[in-house]
Amino acid sequence: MMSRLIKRFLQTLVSLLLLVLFSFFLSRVLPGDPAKYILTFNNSQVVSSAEGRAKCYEQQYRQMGLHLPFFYFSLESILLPDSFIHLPDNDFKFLLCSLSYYSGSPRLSYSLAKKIVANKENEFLVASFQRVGVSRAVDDLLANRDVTEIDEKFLIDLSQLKSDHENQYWKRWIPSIRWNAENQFHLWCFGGRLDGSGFVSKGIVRGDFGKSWTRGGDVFEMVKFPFLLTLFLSVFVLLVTFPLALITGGWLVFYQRKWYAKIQKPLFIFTYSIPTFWMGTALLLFFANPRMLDWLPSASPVLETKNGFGSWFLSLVSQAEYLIIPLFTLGYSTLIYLSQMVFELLKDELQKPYVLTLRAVGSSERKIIFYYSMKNILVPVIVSGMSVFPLLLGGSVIIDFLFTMPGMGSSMLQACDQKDFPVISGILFVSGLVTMLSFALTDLFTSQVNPLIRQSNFKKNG
Amino acid sequence: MLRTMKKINLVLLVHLSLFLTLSCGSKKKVDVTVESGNYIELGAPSVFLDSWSKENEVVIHELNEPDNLHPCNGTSQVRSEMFLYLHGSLLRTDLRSGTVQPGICKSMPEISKDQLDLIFDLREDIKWDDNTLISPDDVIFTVKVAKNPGTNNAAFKPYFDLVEKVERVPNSATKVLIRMKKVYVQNVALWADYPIIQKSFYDPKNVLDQFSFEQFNDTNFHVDQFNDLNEWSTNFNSPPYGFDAKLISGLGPYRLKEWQQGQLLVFEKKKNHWSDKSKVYAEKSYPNKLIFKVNKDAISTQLAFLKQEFDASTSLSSRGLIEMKSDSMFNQNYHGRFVDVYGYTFIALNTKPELSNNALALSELEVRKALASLTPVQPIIDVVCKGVNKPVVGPVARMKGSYNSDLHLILLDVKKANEIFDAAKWNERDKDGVRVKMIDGKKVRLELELAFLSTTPEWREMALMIEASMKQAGVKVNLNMTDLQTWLDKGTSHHFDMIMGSWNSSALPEDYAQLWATSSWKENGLNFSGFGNEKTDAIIDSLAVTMDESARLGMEKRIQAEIYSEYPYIFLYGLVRRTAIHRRFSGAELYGERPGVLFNMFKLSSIGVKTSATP
Amino acid sequence: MGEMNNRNKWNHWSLKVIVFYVFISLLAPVISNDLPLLRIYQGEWSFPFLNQEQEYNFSEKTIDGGFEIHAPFGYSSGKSDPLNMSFRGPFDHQLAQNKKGELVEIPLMKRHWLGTNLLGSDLLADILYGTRVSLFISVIATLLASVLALFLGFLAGWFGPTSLKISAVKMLLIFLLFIFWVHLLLNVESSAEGWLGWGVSLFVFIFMMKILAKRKMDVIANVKIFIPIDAIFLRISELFSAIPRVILVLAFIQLLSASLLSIILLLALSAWVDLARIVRAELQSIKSMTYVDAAVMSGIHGARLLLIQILPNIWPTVLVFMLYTFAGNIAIEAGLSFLGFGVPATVKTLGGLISEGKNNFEAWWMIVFPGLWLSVLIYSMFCLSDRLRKTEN
Repeated sequence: MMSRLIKRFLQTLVSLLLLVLFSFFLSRVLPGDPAKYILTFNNSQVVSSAEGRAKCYEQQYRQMGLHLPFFYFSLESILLPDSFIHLPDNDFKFLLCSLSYYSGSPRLSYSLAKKIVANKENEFLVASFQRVGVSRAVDDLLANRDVTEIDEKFLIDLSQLKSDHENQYWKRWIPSIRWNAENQFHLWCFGGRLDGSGFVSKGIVRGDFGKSWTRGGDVFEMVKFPFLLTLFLSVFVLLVTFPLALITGGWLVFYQRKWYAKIQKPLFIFTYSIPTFWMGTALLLFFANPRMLDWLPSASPVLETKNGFGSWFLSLVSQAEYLIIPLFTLGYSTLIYLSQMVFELLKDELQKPYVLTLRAVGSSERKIIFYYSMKNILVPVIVSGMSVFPLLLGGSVIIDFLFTMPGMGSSMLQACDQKDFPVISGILFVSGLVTMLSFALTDLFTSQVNPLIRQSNFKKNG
Repeated sequence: MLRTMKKINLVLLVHLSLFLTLSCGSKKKVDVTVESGNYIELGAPSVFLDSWSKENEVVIHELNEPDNLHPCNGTSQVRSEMFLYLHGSLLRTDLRSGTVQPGICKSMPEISKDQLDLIFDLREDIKWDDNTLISPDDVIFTVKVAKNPGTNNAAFKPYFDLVEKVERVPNSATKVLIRMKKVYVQNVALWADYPIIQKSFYDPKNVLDQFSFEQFNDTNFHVDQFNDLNEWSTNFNSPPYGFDAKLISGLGPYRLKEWQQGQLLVFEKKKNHWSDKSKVYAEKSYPNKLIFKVNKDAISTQLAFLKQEFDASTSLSSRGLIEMKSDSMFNQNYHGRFVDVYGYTFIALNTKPELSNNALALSELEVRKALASLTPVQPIIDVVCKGVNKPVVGPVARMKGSYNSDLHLILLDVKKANEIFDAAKWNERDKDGVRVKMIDGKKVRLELELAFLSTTPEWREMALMIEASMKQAGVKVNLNMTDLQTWLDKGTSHHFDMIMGSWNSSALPEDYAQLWATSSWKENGLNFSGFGNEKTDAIIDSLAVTMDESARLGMEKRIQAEIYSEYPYIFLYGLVRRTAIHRRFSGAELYGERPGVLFNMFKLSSIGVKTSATP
Repeated sequence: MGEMNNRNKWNHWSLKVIVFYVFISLLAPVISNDLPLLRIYQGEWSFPFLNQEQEYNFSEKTIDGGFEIHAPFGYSSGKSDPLNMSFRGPFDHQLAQNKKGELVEIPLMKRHWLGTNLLGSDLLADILYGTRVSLFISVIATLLASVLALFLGFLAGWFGPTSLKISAVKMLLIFLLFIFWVHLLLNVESSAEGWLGWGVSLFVFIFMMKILAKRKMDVIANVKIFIPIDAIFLRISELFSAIPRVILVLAFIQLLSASLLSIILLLALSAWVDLARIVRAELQSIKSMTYVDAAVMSGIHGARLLLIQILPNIWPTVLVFMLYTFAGNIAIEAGLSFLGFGVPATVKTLGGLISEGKNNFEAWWMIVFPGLWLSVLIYSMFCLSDRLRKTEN
């Protein structure tokens, strides 16, 4: 048992690592320049002078720690001296070295140069780049910039690089893997502080997913309660539908010869085929519309989030009427799915020889279905019940959109609207994390419940 | 003597506003509605219905919540609107007249001869929440905070770079002197609606006193070198100062009571506030609470209005409001109004195309002219906007005095467009019917891209109508729906053929430089189309410094005529604000100027308030 | 008996419905089009609906004496009918212009049977063309996902936890090649140089492999390492099944631009897991069967073995799951379009039609018809897969 536990734990850990890498990838591989995006979003383009915009940009760029390499390893050409890679937090130097590095090559593609500059410096430089070409731009920069800002070693390396570039062109073909102690991934994952740029992070291991680009707030704080609501709804749906599905399934099997049990299947599956968003819209227009049936509220519940979990939960429960339509919309397909599953499994189960024996002994049909057979099909039903869990989490997107619930889905949609990648990757990570944990727990639980699995496992280990 | 010019903040309309004029709203007998030049006053109800709530609080519908309520580090539009209730400022924008008026100072500032010194004389009735009087030190502190390199207010830094220093005036307890670095038209307007914060509240240890304005003006000054400043800035920038009700303090009549993020904000009226004795209309505050509820979804907002769950909104969808106005229940409970605002929608044409081969066509005035007559402005207004908006001829709103009424609207006329094309030698047709012409030995097809925002479905509907209409005269339009950043990138970098969007302006005198000066085009500013020549630049430059209204008027009309004759834009229609306000309040006024309504002026109608004896 | 069963299992109403949908979506331009299908004019035969652009020229000429055959429904998707704009319902008054230019009630043949949307585009045509797009996306995405799933499932199921071994030296070579290619990609942007480097390195790599294959090199080549391909598969599939599909697709559609290609890729990338797991499980159970052993003994190896011997045996199960995946893809694509994040906004899909209706809920036909149409499609897929599963058992 212990070894199984440890093994499962290690497996989950590996999956989690993958999830972390995945989320990091999502938060960094972006279509545009995040610093520029934030400024655009916040209307700073209104600052009309190019100089003013460049200044804003520089401050923003440093605040976000974008001048660091992405990962622990980076792949560079050996032509590039060490001092350029391990530059202090000075993106200007990085730009210079990149520029001069590429300027020697007449075959330099314009697009690459533009890419570097767009990533590393402001549009100001892009403009000068376009106008005068790369080498002139470098000279201009050197002339404009205060030379005392550039340390000696850097200048020596720079001239070395230029001559290398002319003499040893072949060198740029040779890759070398470099180690970066300070990098964006490390900061993102484990946290840390960058001197001089004001970039501080606690890392996702301590629940810091960074700052929202559009709202400036802490992503974790923003996503915490919405996620809790979604989690609550999903778990609630599971907890309710599970016994309900068992009862419905058993009942359907019990009455399977009656006419209404015969038409249930096409009816249920057709309901199951109706897209969630359509069902939700229809319910809203029927039951929460003053022009139709004004039974249920259409607006979202207002949840108390300031005073911790307890008052949040109380405020949720006290506004339960707001949850009726959303819960139904979220749950009906799960209920149908599980009850059909129970129905099929039970029907198969009733064909088994032991049922015949039980009938011969005189057990009531009711007891056979609801006790003996039910016990046997419990594990597969639990397993597929848990496999629905990510679907429920994902379903919150539709639910929140339709009923303006303050759940994870509305955070997600808002973030998607605004391309707020820290929030998007945070939500992706959290929902993945919770589901993985729930998978692991189900595994452990079912191996406890079902002696067969335990036994086979025992055999394997033995 | 002083007439100021407020900075004209061209704000991108992320949500396309659509709709109508006031005259369409039928006046009912129960309302005594006063419409004076710049604003409309909604009257009191004659009866108070049973179904109406008697709570003296206003529940306001918002589409977005503010990014934060930090006094410095925030940028959203909603935030600055909410600051009207939370904060006081040296000057304020007077919504009734559309001018800048003194706020917490006695009068407009005295300006020195060299026009660099502004002396503000603070009022003596204005008190902070801890009952201390406002002092010049608070003003000095506010500016210091804004200029502090450690403060994360990147968007505001350029404005405060204009300030050299702020100091007390000797021998006066109320006067404060602000010295600017250079003469600039916006020197005074800068102080309108910028919140003044309390020094003893935000900096009890007087950290910022140790630093001078000279230090902050120095580009080599680094916050990291000073531990206490660094610590103070980090603390001040931290989220609690933007979100925590206990850490947000201002001069306004309301305080933030609670904020459930993503859902609602509650502002509570302060007791015994200085503004209770104020005689200025905008400083009065009647409701006990202002509750801002966020709801983005059009359908559930609409249902909530039918159920009277909201009291007011300035951001309904226009179709929603039209639909609700056809409902007698809604009309019984709400004033539903469309108010013209100072903004317009447009299609910018790239008059100086560099990259796209096809766009070369746009450098010809005749082509632009023909495209303008191919744009179905009136059908768009009728179908997409439900007839609520009015077409415009230029960048100036219809209700402004400077609107050039001599210019005629360009009507949809396919025949005329065809004639113009044929006359301009665009008479060859490709196989698929698209017009072609040889320009500099290259075959140029009249196939243009139209970029528009993905924010609301209306843009797409308009684009589809334009595409269909232009096709009739052999112009192929390719639609490109973009997000805000791509849209702006395309415009500012001139990588576009046609780009559709809207600009918002204000009642204050227009500054044409941002949109129409050639320098703005060169610096990748908001002059997308590349409009302008020496003559127009000269007019724009002199407009920026001319204060005399009659002199301005002539120049403004001239620049409009210039724009009209060059066709850099196809002007579509003027924007409207869609407001709904519950009838249980009286005293509400609707302004063309942002934010459109001041909720603190809502008086719960006295008919309904039972005088209940309080124990 | 087996053959009977095989024929019978396809004999089900749901298959007919699906074929009907596919048929209709393929023929959408013929069923509903505002251009004539066939025109005989001055002895010349032409098919105007095939090249819509050329029709442009024709409209300026006179068409006297010509003969035209029109589609049964005279509207194309997305083309607005200016007389019936602003949501005309199926039972509302619909207008048309007669030859004198007067406005009259529309003739029965030209009616918008299912109503119109805001811009006056015919809902029936929109549904037909929308089905086309939805089916296209889902079919391609399902096929891609199945290929991926079969590949990964085969790999994991066949090799299992321990049986994939590779020579350490070869592994090192592959690793070096990989590093070099990434280097070229990242640091050498000039495409000519990149292609040159790519080719040269591949040549060197193949050359080294050839040397390794020589007898003398056996000692080096025989140092082998395990690749725990099964464990890797399980972890990756756990990752993909843990992240809710909608959230995964929503997140990554922000990185790519909204286009048919990106939505297809994302749907495929998020849909392979279940199928791959099934394939893996089937393969594990089938691997130990005697006929496979026999095949291996008789010298059938690798891909041939998998495709010829094994695939036919797991095919029925795969098919059932492919149908599930297909239905799921249609539903998710519709949901994404409903949320406004799916295909580009100028492309009509069923989900997009419903969201248009949701914003204008007086127009009930915009919600009801596309919704029912979509539900019936998904329903028949479920029924078909159910049927297949049952006959299999």
